[in-house]
Amino acid sequence: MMKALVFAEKADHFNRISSKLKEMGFEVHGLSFAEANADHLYISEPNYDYASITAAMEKISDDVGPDLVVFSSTKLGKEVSARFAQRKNLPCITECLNLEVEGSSITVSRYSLGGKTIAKLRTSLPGVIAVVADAIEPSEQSFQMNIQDFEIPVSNQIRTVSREEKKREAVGLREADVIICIGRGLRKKEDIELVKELAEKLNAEIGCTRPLSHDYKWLPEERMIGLSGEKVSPKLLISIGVSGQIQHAVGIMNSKTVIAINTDENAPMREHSDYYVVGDLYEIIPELIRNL
Amino acid sequence: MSVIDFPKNTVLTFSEEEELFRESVREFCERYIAPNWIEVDKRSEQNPMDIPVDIIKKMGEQGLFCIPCSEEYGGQGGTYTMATIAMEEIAYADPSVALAVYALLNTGWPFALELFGSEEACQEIIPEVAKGRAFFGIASTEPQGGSDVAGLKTRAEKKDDVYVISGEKTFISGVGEVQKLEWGGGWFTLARTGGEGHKGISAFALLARKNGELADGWEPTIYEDIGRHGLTTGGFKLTNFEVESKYLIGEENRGFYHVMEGFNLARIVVAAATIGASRWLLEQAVEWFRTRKLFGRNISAFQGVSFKFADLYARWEASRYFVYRASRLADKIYIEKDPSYKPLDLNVPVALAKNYGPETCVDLAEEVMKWYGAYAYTKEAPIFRAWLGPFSYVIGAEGAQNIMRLIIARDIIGREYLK
Amino acid sequence: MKIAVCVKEVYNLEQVKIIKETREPILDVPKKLDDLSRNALEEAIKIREKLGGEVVAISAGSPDLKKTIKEALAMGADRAVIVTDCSNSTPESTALILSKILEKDSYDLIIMGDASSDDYSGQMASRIAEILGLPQITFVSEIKEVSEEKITCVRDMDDYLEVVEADLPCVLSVTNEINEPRIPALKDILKASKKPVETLSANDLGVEIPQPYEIIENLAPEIDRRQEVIEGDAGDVARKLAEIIRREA
Repeated sequence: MMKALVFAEKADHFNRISSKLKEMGFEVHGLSFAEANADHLYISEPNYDYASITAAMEKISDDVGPDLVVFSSTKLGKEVSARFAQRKNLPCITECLNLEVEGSSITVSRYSLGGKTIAKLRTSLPGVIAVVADAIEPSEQSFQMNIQDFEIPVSNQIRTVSREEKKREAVGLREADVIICIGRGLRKKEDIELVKELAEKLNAEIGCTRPLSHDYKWLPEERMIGLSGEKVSPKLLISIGVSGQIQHAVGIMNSKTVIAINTDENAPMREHSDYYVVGDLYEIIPELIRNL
Repeated sequence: MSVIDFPKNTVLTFSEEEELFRESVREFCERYIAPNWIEVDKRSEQNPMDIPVDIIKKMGEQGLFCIPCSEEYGGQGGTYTMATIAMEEIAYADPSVALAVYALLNTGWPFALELFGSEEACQEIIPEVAKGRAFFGIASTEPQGGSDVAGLKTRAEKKDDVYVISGEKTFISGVGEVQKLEWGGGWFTLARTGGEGHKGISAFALLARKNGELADGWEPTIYEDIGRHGLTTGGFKLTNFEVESKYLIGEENRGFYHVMEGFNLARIVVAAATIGASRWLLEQAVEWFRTRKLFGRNISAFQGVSFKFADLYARWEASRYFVYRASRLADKIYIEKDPSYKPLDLNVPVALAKNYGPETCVDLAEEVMKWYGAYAYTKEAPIFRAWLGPFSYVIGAEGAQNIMRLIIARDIIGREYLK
Repeated sequence: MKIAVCVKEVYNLEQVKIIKETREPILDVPKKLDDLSRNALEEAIKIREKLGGEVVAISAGSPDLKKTIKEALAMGADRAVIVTDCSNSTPESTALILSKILEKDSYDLIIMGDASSDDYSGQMASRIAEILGLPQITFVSEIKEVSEEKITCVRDMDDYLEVVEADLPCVLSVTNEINEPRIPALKDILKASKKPVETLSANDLGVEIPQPYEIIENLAPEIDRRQEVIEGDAGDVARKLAEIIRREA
């Protein structure tokens, strides 16, 4: 049986990845900071230092001899996956959206050309990948659940002076049935109130494009939908004042129905819409609220 | 993202540096000009003295003025073709052409100053213009008319080391800017120092305001224009306005010849601005064609539309050849100083560019408005701004269209056969 | 302070079009310096402006690099070292090649983008740091302090912000929020052509380019939306929308 070794700093990510690997027939070994599903699991105190985690994974990998080493494609996961791969002189593919195994090779998909295309790549095992955990549908699998404590070796390559959790709203974008996504067509921050009013009527979550969260900071980062943010799959997505650049569009591709309201008849958003309304959001939204 | 895939070109080609420069100007314009040009045009329409000083300053910091002037005078040390590239791109980002015309005046006329003016005047004026702290344009037109330069009436009397100038100039760009910019500025100004006709005219670097201080004897008025509001037009009266002799440009009574060379240089970049605005218009048209349906067909399926478009596209490409042909020739004469080319060699190439570029732009704007239909007649659609702005350069400004035709006919048929 | 900036040429992605029928990308578009490489350069130039020293742009790519590297020189790199015979590079091969170049000189800082905007692989800083045996600070959104001996940075991670310090030499990767890269002015562009560029081949460096994976396909995702345009006055549009929303939500 082929062996996989997993590291994910979040138990949820770990479980999604391990269930996928189990489904594919791997014996799953892993390192995590909390109890998670695996055949053989090492649990350690949380540690966010790349050098320490790389050393730990090296040690476990030398013991286990995995065919495939899998990281969650978070920033930390990507950083460690590459350093680990280089140390073991292995190929590494990050940001994988899904994976298939065929004999002694693995095939993965990932965005390419800035999100314009999806590339399918095949590499032979052993290898390292970092997987976008949210792209995996978790499945029920049974594991041996041999668990033991593990002490991560301490490294001083870099020194942490302070760490501060980002203040995050609990945002249910991924689970929402209806999402209203706003973009730069909104003239000012106060106009979000109008959108909120519509959101309440529809029991919808509000998401946004990158400029609104990262440049203008009108909404928190966790509401950003796109390649580098949330990828959503609601029944209905109402896009308001969004131009529809590809980096954003990849985040909404799994929506069932997309309605867009835009003043520009030719915005790229049109291609990503089922219903494309050409018009002024400031006229249409109040009318729409009245009609709902 | 470019709407049109322009055909590959092996005749009109650009060096690596020129491409890189075009890219950098484009990026600057995308960041600072394209998002603001409509707002600037609207604001300055309400109040002509509401001048986009902040954008001018940024353009100065980026080195978009005095492009062919030497670095020792604070210029950019570039070529005339590089100036032409910059104007094309600035006008593409602001098709009202206000900012492009600001930039081209402050490239062509400081360069003419450098060609003929005194060391002292260049050292004083060009660095300030280059930084976007001063304006330096052209003041030749007078109330009795603009095209008849040789007939101008403003007089300059020399008293010791000073010329005392009295008269009136009209339809002058930058009258507001010299008052509002940090340092001030003025014009390459023509006045009569000798007898009647073109041999009695001298050119001066007349500074209405310097170091933030207004000069005496300068009385400005500001006009309300119909377009390209981001640039002011006005006039001024000169009453015993004193100009030190270091500001005499070139030789006394040779001003007519100097200004004609200056006009040739400025006309190239005026035409460059209009081809930039035209490119914006072409893209507006193509985007419209790709989405607009009429009677169940694409509107460009009607040959009345698509053939007209094809003709205008052809005229645009031709204008572009004219413009860059003239700029390359200007480089031979003024930058490379190749002795096999003379300033007069520019006459026809420049007249072709200045005649064709602006007319194409305005005709194109008019057609695009018609293709868009009623929406284009509302102020919400910005197309009219790319019509009314460039229209200024069909009427006149650095030479009226019929003067261009006159130059072409005169030089090609022969001066004596036009009598 | 001697700073190496690892930069990457990418296709001008805005211009990449997709063939509708086959969903294949048309890659016959000009290349440019990647945006994140420019963030890295900007940060390096700022450090040089403060502490003095030299900024060297280093890159491995296609023969087009001879042209694209000029963008780095125009932005303010003092010189460049490029390898132009690795068009089909992978993170694995690029890391090997860049490390070979970096080993030839002693750099205090090696800076790059946290990923490239085309592939977004994000492996380069880790791989190079591992090969050279150096510490790494990735996803830097702010450099708080830098001296000849030590650097202190803010890292912008998924769920937390972290202030870390490391002794030099060190490898950094920066996010695009760290700065707004300068746009080169004409004077800088004219100067750029006079700056030294050393052109090497992978062979010169004794690197055999590994091909660890095979690209099976690279196609645009299928977009199959109705694209029904709704126009009219706000009232009509709103009524139609309300109907669609009631049906779909």
